[in-house]
Amino acid sequence: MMHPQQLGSDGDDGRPPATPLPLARQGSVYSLTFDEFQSTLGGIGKDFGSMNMDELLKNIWTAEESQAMASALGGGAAAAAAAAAAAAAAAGTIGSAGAAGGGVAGGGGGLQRQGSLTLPRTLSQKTVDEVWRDLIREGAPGPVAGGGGGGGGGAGAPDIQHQRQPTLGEMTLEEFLVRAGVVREDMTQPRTLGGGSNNTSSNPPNSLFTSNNTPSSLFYGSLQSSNDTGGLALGFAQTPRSNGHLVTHGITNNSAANLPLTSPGARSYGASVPLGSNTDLGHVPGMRGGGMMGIGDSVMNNGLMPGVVGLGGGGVTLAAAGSPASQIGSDGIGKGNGDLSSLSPVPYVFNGGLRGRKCGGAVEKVMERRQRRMIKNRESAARSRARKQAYTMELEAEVAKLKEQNQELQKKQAEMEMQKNQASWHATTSLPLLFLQEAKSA
Amino acid sequence: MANFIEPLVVGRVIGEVVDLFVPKNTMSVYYGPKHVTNGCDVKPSMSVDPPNIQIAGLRPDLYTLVMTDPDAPSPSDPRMREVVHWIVVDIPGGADLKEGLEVLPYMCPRPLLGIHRYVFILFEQKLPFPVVAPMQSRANFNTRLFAAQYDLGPPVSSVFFNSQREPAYRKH
Repeated sequence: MMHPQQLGSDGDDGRPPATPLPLARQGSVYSLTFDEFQSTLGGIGKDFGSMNMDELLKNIWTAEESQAMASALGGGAAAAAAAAAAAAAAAGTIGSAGAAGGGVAGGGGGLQRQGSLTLPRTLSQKTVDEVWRDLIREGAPGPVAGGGGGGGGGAGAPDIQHQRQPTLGEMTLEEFLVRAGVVREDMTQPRTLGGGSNNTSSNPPNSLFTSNNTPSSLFYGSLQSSNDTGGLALGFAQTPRSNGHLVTHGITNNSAANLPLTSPGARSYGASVPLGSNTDLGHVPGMRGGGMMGIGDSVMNNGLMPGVVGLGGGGVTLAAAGSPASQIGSDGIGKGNGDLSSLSPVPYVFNGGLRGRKCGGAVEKVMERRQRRMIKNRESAARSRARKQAYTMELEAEVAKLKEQNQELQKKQAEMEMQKNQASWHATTSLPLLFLQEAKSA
Repeated sequence: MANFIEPLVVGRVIGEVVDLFVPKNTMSVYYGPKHVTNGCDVKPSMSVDPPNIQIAGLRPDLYTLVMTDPDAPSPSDPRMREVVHWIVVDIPGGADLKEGLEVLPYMCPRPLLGIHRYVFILFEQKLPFPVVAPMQSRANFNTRLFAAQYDLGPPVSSVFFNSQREPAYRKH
């Protein structure tokens, strides 16, 4: 097992971070065009045009999450690189501070802020095509509110984003959403995805930090349905020793991390399914978006399952990132286990990162499905254990009760026998006496 | 037994169906000869007819029994939680359930997907039960809400069993 510090410092010493552009481009899912986004989400069979706005947003969020996660991991790695292991927990906040400083220049762009999008009711059921048609009908598109995905910096990326294109496919998600009247709710902390100006080689930790947007709120935001899920940031904060294995490769901005995710709030009995998962998210320049993430949204485990599948982008080799990923398991997971509730903990282990790199949408889809199935299996295994345990408890209680009853009955029986014995003793002893008395008196 | 709640906690009946409560009464539930204890298995074919339920307690008290399935349509996706199977009210203490008033007729368990829990929950009534509006749907019933709505207070007893589709079991 490698230590985060070691790994981090490896990255730090060996390779100076470079190439601000990719991060800036990656910075926001919203800066992708529909076409790009579609290819990013290769796994989704459906065409965006036929989706309704709700679905579209869901897809965007999914992509955004995975991206944020990846960047969060990057941020964590940077923290480790700075040899501030304890500070890893605080990575989120540092990151957001950096973002506030660097990226807010993007300004009015509500879209830049990591919050949740709300849809006007009338809009949510419309398909993307319908909305698009409406937009076209409205005629000359007005200037787009909000900064580009790259915030202040980002080497030209914003320019590209700001150009309005005649077809839906070439429109950026941001532009589309803004023009469609989707409102972005502000979160409490102003943050900028991939605050571009900080992504310079002169400022390596910052560049990573800025792309790290307090993941905790991201996860809370996106996983409201699962009560006790601690986001990645929580994972860092609460179980620092289980957050192991971060690698940064400055040049390529690949970050690979095996991050056991435990669900801290598992307050239940046997059925709790704590979740330790290994993510291996990679960022490659020229590759957009992080990976797909499956979310286990079930009642039982409050689970977050990152089904991590890197997307094949430009011919960058990822062998280096892959190797630490292969060390999944013993350390992080084992420790995770130790922290979990005493009754039947079920660690989740995923080796997704190992494989996911290779490929296109199909593999991704299969992986995701497989992981969903795995979650389901684990849940049902947990349920089954809980059931068994419940029944055992019931039987034990019954045994105890019957034992008690049995004891009582035996005691009663003994007493009764004693009384009987006494009675018969009296009978046997008193008879001859009587005889004697009778004989005397006679 | 019904006054032992740990199995209810582990089986997540307490938590997912009702809140933690102190058992103040007991009831014995029998599907034919089968005594229903917490966490036991009852085959759908055995539970076609309503069970015999005997309630402890004394006459003047009145009780309400609710039977519900929190695992519909499947335990991993209980989006219909809960499906109510049976409601009987005004059951006198110490009596058989048959002396009560059936507000919602018994619907036998038909677990198509996964292993379902079927939970009997007994409440003590403070007053005779008011006239109840007929229920719109059995799905998405909420025992807690029901108890609150009719001022029933916390449960006084609860028993649950598991049921799974039988291999040869067919939908009617």
